[in-house]
Amino acid sequence: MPELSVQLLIFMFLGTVVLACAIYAVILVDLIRAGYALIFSLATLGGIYIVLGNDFLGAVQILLYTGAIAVLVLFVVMLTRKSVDGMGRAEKKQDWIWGGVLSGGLFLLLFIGINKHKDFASGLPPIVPQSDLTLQAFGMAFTEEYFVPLQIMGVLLTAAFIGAALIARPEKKGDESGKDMGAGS
Amino acid sequence: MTLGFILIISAALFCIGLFGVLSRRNMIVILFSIELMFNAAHLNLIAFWRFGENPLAISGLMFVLFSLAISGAEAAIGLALILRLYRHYKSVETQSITELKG
Repeated sequence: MPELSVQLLIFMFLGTVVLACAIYAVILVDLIRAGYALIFSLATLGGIYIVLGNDFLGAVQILLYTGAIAVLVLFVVMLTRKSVDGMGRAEKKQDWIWGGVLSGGLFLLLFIGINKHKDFASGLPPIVPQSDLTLQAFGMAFTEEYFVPLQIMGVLLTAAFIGAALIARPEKKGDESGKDMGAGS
Repeated sequence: MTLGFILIISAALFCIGLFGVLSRRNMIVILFSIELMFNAAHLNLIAFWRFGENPLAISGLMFVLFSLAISGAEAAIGLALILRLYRHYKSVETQSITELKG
């Protein structure tokens, strides 16, 4: 089937971009570049969601990560930049080795497990779901079936963002008793 | 395109995140890595929704949407904590924050 192979090609391309940018985001010293790589990786993941047949979540993912999280990440990187510039790497060689061995081992286990499982080798189901899962369906679900979870999520996000604003406000003089103790060590 | 293929990409994304958390000492990069692991989980959820018994059900997508909201709250709080720690210790490296060390 020609359509399916084109889909697979697009999927492989997007997957390669996601993984390469994720590796860049994790190993780069320059945090601004790492932040851009992270945002690019996660926005491309939104493209994978769209290939998998879910336009709405793909759009949400791209909006969330290139909009909100990008601004947040880049501002925090710039605000804490002084301590990062000219420091070089704080990681020692054994950090890289242990991290690589543990995460590589986990990936190997997962890879073998996924390849051995027969159900995971099945192809893409033929039905195309987006015909029924329109924005209208999401709206109806949010006002009927998922009304209470949505409200609870609103309360949680409000609490989280008020908490974040409270945590990030500047320290007053004499506000923290352990300030002089912690700053030097 | 099979389900196993998507799961392998998701597993690779998760392991990259795990590598970052285990081997980097910069708190901002650790937060990036946690974000990567979150998104690997979301990719898994979407893959199982798409390949599952009933791809017309909206519940799998709702799961991902609420999880996305949680991950947004987590990023905001985590970055606020990093900002606060930076103001207090003038550093974002994990080894410089040792006040609670025994």
